[in-house]
Amino acid sequence: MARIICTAVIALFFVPLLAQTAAQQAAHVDLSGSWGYAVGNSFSPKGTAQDAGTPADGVPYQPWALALMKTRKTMSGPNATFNTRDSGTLETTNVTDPLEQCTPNGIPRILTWPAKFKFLQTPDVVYILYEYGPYWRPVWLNRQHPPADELDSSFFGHAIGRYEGNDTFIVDSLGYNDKTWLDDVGRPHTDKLHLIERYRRVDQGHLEVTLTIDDPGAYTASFTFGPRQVLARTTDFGAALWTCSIDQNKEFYRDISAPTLTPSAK
Amino acid sequence: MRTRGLLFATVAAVVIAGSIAGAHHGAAGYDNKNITILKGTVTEWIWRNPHSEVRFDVTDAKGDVRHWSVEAPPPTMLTERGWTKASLKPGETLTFHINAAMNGSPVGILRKVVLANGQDLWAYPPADLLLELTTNGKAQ
Repeated sequence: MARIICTAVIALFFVPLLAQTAAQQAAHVDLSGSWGYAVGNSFSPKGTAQDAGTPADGVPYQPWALALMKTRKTMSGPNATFNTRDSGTLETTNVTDPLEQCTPNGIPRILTWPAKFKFLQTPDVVYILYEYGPYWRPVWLNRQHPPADELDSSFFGHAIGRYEGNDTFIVDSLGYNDKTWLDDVGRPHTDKLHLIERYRRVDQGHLEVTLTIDDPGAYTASFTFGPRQVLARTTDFGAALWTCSIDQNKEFYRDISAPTLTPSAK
Repeated sequence: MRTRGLLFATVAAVVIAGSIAGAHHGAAGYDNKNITILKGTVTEWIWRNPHSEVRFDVTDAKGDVRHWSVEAPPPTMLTERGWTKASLKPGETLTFHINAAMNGSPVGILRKVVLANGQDLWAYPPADLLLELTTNGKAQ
């Protein structure tokens, strides 16, 4: 008898709870799919990569950040230069992009890369996987950022997430180092970077990405890039991965870039 | 049309829709407004990051052979466009549509390959075809 009563109490208590949890999970956005490619290579609120560093790009630079960006030798934007290497060592001689040395592109720059990304949603954490690297990062649900003195400074930061409505997932991240570029045109950021990513599933085939960049170390105000749409792809995520290799970069330069640059080949 | 003394070379003035995304290392050195068509025999197909590479030999009317090295997208992109590591095999004679280097070197960037059965295998398709290939057009 006691067992029956006990079972009934458990059922009365837990079944609604489980139903509520299931309902909550069903209500949030389903981000499944294979998403890509890049959202763009310049995270300016307006203007193109070629406008980077001009008033047309709408980015509120601090003077030092603008000056630093203009010294960087990029492969995109107004400072873009052809990547050349020493003919003997094959070391890069002009481009200062850290990606040429296979330094992680980190967040948010990884979103500029023409490779796919994917969300793995679990009750406690959403993992975002990237074909480039291949890198991945956890976005913790139902959790706060650690206290400042416990926060590491890393390439991929510390991210917490929440669902909004039935179509949006919001990622709030900080705890970045300053070793990466914000985007392909060489915008800097500091370890004060606080990034908000909004992923809104418009429909089965479209994901809308919006970035709000707040870095009081490098910019005088926060600014927003997007929304920009990426598409659901038909190829399996991870069917091929994009691993950066300094040796392979050198091979490519030796085989293709160097003869393209040779002025007297004609 | 102009010839380069190759077995089969055609340069057609073609303005290609869309950009050559991902060709960040070499795009500035290519003649992106014209397509050079070469019939050649594959010697090596390198499935590699940051860009794949096909090497092929083109023999001219005099029997002289020129060795070409042409870049293609990385495996992540090619996989989406229907390619595999086995798409090209040494010994096959195929037709390559490329943007050649402006300095005359035997290098370039691959737009598409026409296979022996006449099928187009696109490396950098026009924008509308790219959408069709990578999203089945469902995203439109």
